[in-house]
Amino acid sequence: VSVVVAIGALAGVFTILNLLIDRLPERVGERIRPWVFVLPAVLFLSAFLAVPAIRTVILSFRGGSDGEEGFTVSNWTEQLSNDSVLGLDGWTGIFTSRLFIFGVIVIVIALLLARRSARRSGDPGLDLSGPGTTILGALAILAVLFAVFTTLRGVVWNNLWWVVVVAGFSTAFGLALAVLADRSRSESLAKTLIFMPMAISLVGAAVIWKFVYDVGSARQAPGLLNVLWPGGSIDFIRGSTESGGTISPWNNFFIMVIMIWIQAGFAMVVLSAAIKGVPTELGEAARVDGANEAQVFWRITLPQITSTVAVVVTTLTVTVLKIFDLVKATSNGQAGTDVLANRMYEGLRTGNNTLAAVFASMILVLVLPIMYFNVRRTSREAAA
Amino acid sequence: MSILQSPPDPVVAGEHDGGREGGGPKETLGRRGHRWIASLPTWVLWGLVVFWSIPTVGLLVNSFRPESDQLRTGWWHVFSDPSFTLENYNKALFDPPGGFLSFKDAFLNSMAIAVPGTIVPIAIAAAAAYAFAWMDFPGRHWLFIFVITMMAVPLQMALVPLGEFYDNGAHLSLFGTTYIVFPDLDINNTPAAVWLAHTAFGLPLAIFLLHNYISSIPRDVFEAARIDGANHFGIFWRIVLPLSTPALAAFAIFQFLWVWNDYLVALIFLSQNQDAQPLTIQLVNLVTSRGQGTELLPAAAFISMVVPLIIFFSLQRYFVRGLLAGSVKG
Repeated sequence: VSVVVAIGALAGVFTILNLLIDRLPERVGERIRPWVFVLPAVLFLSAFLAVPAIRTVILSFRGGSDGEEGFTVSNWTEQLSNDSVLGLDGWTGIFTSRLFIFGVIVIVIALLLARRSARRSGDPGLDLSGPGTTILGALAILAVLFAVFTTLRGVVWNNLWWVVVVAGFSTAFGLALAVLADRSRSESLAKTLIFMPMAISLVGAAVIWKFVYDVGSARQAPGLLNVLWPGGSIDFIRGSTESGGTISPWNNFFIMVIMIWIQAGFAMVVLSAAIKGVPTELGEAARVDGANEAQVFWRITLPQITSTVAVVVTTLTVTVLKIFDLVKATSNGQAGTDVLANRMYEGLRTGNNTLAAVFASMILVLVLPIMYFNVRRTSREAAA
Repeated sequence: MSILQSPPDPVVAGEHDGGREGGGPKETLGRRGHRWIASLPTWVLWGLVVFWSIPTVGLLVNSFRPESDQLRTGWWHVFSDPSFTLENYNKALFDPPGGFLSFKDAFLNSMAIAVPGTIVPIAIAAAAAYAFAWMDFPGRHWLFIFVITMMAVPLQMALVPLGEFYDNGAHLSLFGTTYIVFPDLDINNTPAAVWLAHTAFGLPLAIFLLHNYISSIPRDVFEAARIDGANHFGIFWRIVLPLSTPALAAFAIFQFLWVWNDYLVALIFLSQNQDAQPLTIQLVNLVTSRGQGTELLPAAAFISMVVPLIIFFSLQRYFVRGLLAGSVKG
């Protein structure tokens, strides 16, 4: 009821103000009227977003749990040198990890392939756009990054790992699905089913996947994956295995899978629209020249949609940097799965507002470059 | 981004999703090679679709299984040992075990947050978007940039000071005197605290989208109305709002689902008031309560998903537009 009253009052005030302006002399009235339209939004944004954001930054540089002491940078230095935030211990382990060695080998193979492909077309350099090189290159980069993020621990590293995994896999899956669906008779039904997880809450998704990951116990049936997994049950979320071992930090990956499950549908729909936007004449011309379907995709369709791929990747990156609900509802940040937004919440919950402000500002710092890139591209496209 | 925002339709991207079957290349592939190779992509696609749907189907099946079955065996045992009940839904909705708010009440709480959290930002944004698009006033350009910049601010940045604002109002101390800029409304731990925050977080995107749409309305329309003697207020009510229905609907759906599915904002501003907590919080409470009521979890999850799913399946066209456009939200 109060809601109806509030909305009615809002519309009423707006109408009355406008009718009052109608009474004023034309010239004065038309000067004031724009502000009646704009000021509610601007005041709202200032009071609820702009001023609080500035205050959060200031708070992150003040002492005491509520900023009651003066200026200090110790909040930041303390957190950034904290091993659970930005741990650097054992960083040399990166270079000896199997993933890293695998990545280096794959990069070498990819470069050899690129050279061979370029030589075949009489090109002196490297041909980096072919399917083999692209896929192997992506695989190698992924392997090296996984080596980094499984060796270095801490919430910042975790957040970055999230970005790589979710943005990378969702985009790859989305692209594959968009291409497959483009050839299909039942395109819209298939796309609807893949896209469906976008509609539900992250908390709901966490519950859905609980029944995939659950460990069996006296009062809990084992989840599907635990039944299918060869060799003993594993707590995929908390990382402990039946034999007392641990799969940490790979338990992070199983939480990220849930996010990929949700976001692949988003990537698919955006990329699908972009693929349909590529002029069909281009592909037809290539086919007449003897190109096969794979070549048409890798040499014509993909280069045409790179800017959309960039949009998808940056959008996912920003979403993932703020990830909170999923971690909170699955592992609660335990077992090495903590992320920045959860640290921020923990600060707030325990009454340490300065700490919360520091972690919120860290998210801002990570998001800003991407947003800058986004806004610049938007305005460039708007100008074009 | 351009494909998402090119006027007059702010999001053309979803346009093709509605039903157009795969375009040109299909026939070419059919002509070449054997038929089964041509149908291979379809098989792979449907394999992925099944794979994608299994977790959700499993939860749905489980929500209808009696407690003893659910806690003992996985949902796939339903094929060998089928038995169904509505008891889980009944208990979750009306009679949850001790200490839990019933999901019926939580459902109403979610509504009480999501409805104003959708309508209020749209009302405020529509007026602002019209002014930015078609009115002339000093500072228009810079104010619009301010609005767009706010899209980049993660909502986490606002939470700490907003909590204090809700608790104590706003004060400004200058030269030893404290001025009350805004009185203490004492709305922390009320639904209003949540939907007011959502209003602000939704505004930049709403203004941006509606501005794109409204500024693409042909100038002739406004000039004709002006000649008929209408002023800005009349044009806004009688021409702009009716013409913008598709954009308003797309944003409304996006914002409604965003607020309905939100967990963080509600968790922070309603932590001390269980009676006002929405479905998402109750669901997490049920997940983390080890023991009582675990058999209600699948049913409870579906209660929380039913509204988004109805919107998704019935308004998919608008849903896709709103979601694609809104995915850049901060």
